[in-house]
Amino acid sequence: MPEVSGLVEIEIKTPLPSEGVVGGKYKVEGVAKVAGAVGPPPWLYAQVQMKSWLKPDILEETHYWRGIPIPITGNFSIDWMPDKPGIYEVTVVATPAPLSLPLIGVPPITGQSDMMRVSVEKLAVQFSEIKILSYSIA
Amino acid sequence: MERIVRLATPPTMLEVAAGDKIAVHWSFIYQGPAYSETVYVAVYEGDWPPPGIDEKIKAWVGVPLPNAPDPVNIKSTEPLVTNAVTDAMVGKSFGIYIKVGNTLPKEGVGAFDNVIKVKGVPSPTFSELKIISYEKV
Repeated sequence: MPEVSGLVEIEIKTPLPSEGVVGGKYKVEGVAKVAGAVGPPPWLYAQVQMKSWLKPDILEETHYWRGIPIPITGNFSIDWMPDKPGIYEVTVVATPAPLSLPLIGVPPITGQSDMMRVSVEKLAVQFSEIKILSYSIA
Repeated sequence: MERIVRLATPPTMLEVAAGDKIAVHWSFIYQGPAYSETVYVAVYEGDWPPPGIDEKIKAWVGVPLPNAPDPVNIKSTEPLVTNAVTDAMVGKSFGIYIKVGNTLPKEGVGAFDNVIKVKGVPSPTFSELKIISYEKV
């Protein structure tokens, strides 16, 4: 990750859960403030780095999920849906310009939140309460 | 001619005749990723559970399941309709059950012994045809 300039302060109000499931929909919410209130509002992304259960010491993939800023207030929310099991490290980052996703390379970052670690497991198929409600002559 | 439709709520006995088809409404709770699974209904002779049953008529349908991190209720919008009751079933009682994929239900909610009675007189059958003796006359 490039050096963070600290131009943008990012405070997480609603962090991600520490545990999740593949296909689950999660939301991270917070506030981003430009230091000294000077300059344009930042572009916010969830930087999602994934480690496999089999290789937990190695970061395998990095993806970016675009945030939705709320004008004036500095509030933002970012939806995230993990598509495979693993250990995820999610950090909200601010960039001075929109990123072209999927991103190749490393973006310039003007601020970042604390990192949130999320352990994601594959959801097992489960059927229960299998019922016959009624039967009749067709 | 007025037709009487009997709708049985388990475990009410349903009387049918040879040639009738049976329509079944079902539901289950699902949790898991999105994919398609088969819902299967069979009318059986014998006592639940398998392998103590002999399936006589059946029906199945592919059901698209949503991505469901949390449990969701899946319910039939159209009934599953079996093939027709056969002459060989006349005069006997049968059970009915539903399964989803390979998951079997609990007896009393998804499987019921002897709740379908096929009315009528059984077709005459002949068996053990033997010549007892033969002699010169």
